[in-house]
Amino acid sequence: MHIHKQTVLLGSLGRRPFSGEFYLRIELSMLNVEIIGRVGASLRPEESWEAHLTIREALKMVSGDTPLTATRSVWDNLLAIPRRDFGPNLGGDLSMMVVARTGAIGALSAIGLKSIWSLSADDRTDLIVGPDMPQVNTVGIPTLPPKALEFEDSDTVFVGSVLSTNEPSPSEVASLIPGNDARLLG
Amino acid sequence: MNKLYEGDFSGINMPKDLPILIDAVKAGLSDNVDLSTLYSALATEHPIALCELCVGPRAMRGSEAVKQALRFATALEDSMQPKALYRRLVELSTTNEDSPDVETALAVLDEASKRHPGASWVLPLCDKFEAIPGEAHLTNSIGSGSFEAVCWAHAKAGHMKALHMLSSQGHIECAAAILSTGREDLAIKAAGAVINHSWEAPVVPWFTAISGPKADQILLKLIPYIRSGQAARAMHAQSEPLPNTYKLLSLVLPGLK
Repeated sequence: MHIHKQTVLLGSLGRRPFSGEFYLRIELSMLNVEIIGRVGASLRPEESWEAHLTIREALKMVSGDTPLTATRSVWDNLLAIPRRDFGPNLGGDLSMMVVARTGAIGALSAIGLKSIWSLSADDRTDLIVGPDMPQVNTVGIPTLPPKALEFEDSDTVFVGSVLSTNEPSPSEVASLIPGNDARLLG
Repeated sequence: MNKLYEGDFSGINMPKDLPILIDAVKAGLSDNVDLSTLYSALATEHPIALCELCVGPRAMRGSEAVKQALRFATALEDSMQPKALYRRLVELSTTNEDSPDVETALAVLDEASKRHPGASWVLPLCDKFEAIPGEAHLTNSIGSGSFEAVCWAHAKAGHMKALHMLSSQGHIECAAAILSTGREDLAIKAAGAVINHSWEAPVVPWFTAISGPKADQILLKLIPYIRSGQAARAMHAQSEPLPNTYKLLSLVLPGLK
């Protein structure tokens, strides 16, 4: 079975463009949950890597039988991590997007992103979150789990941007999904 | 002894009498006189005259004059931009303008890169004089806040040999800088040198920070270069998020001591 990555993060420019980025895919019976984020991007890679491994470990406990409950479980597990385990910045620099899907329906929630775009199978690109949504735009671990947006289209690719609200180019997105059968970083 | 050598400028009117000073210094250098007191006094009392003497249009040429000037680099930098100062000192390092004395030029480069580890203007000097371009600048910037940036600058300039050399001393930044240029094969060899010098080196985090999802395929090629079980176990512990690398390391680990 080919597992396609359907959640993409447009991160930093500069010397280490993927510093602190992580991607995790969790299979839960009929559900799959993709989690993509960035933590400690300004730290040395070994420090942000430790924070990222902590997040991965905690998210192995995710459960749920619907996209909404699985999404909620992701945030509950994240919020249970002691702040010091996120490294020197205590998780104050965390950006993260969670997309849970089953069949044709799904749920999405995020923090620390300037914009989220959806790319549908017919090549349509829509802005679904812009810079006017503080709950999504605010960087750092939230005090409460963020609200989730439900959607219906299992083929949609979601592209979150940490830095900008510019529409992502198809080539930019494609470069982050190398090979259609690649299960990336997770 | 000339009273100027003792830093006594009585009867001297600067800058009008600069030629007198230059003649005195020329004589002192040829007689192996210790000119430290004179230069120190100039730095304090007549910094512009010191600058004229060391790097001005009528400055003295030659290895001894330049090495003497380098001892007062701090004072000279107060009067002149470092970039122009060190280039001028290289020019002055021999009497023949077309071919500066390499040993003296290297002394200038060494001083410049020690005092300005993050400066990009050092790079052309490396190309021109160093047998392994970048070696001095990279070495002098280890431990400075600009080491990573310096590695990237030298990678961009193509100074792979120096970067590989420092990789062999355990500096992962150097291997990562090579990777940033897209020279994957060279980067893998450099990462092998890093991990075989320092088994705990964070190769996986650095390569992933640069290449993102592609790091998994790149790091697979590193595995044949790993010589110790300790290094393989350390990399295995780091690589769980990279499924292909993690899987291959799991397979080879039992065969490594």
